[in-house]
Amino acid sequence: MVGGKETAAPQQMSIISVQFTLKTATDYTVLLDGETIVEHSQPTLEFNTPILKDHRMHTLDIRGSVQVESLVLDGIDTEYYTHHGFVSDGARGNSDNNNVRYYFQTPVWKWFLEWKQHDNSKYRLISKAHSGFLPL
Amino acid sequence: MTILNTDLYPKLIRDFFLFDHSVSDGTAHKPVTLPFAYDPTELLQEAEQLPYDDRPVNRCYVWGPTAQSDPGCDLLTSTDTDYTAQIDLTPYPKIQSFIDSLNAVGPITYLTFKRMKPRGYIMPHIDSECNPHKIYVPLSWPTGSEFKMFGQGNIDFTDLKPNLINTSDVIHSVVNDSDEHRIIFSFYADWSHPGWKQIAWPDSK
Repeated sequence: MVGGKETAAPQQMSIISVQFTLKTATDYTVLLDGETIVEHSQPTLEFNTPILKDHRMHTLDIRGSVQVESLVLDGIDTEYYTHHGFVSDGARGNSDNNNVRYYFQTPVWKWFLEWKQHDNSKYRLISKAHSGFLPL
Repeated sequence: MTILNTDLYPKLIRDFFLFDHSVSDGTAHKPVTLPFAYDPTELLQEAEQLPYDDRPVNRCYVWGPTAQSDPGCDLLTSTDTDYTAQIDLTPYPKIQSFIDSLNAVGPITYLTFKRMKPRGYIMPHIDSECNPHKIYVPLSWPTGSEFKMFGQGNIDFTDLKPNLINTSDVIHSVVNDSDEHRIIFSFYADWSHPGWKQIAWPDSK
């Protein structure tokens, strides 16, 4: 996090780095909270966000025919969260012909641990086992 | 707040230990007192000689279900009833005696020793498929070793005191930000047994 000093004081705003790698990509556009950040065609991209309000949901859209292989937010590898994007037919995944959207919050470490704790709860694992993949 | 001395740790760990200022409310971990005497130094001497595997955090599986391969933990779905030593404990009489003392309280179902190298770490994770409650007994806990639970503070292992920890509901991470190996062992028990209920939840009826 580079939005403030690393002190015990609560962080209210953050600027974070976003890095992702695509397995397949034609020309694509990256949007953050609906605003275009960049148009690109290379499989790896890294950029810094504008100022983001902490503890609010933000959206990262990768618009194009893409398959997302990795997503690193604020230097934190989000691992299998890449498969929890929203694709254009409303399903969840990391691959789409039109758009893959990810939701996240800052501070990234806190949001990611909360998501991971929820996604790995024994009750959710039971639900997954019985019902297949459940959207959050 | 824990400021790690090295940037070798992944950023998720660095941020977690730096920014999570939570304190325990007693629901995820608490010190427990075992009802028998033991000498951590004697146990440590034997523990250093155990046949560890070569995982990033070395493990030695010592006690578990009879005639099965290592299940990895006391699984939530386990219906086992018979538990035995998984290695020959003859060279380790103090460890054998400790396990005997545990089983005198009530059956224990799984026990492993873990040796973490200097600057070692375990990424934040949750043991969802395991029996939620586990007792950890540190045998060495060098300054710089931390066991942190998300939203529940750090576990107090000062004076090598054992702790009952809920590892299946709460994300946790461990670092050994020191120049020494760190050795700990943990065990699951039949928590419904009166002897273990009295130790783990003495106020429950």
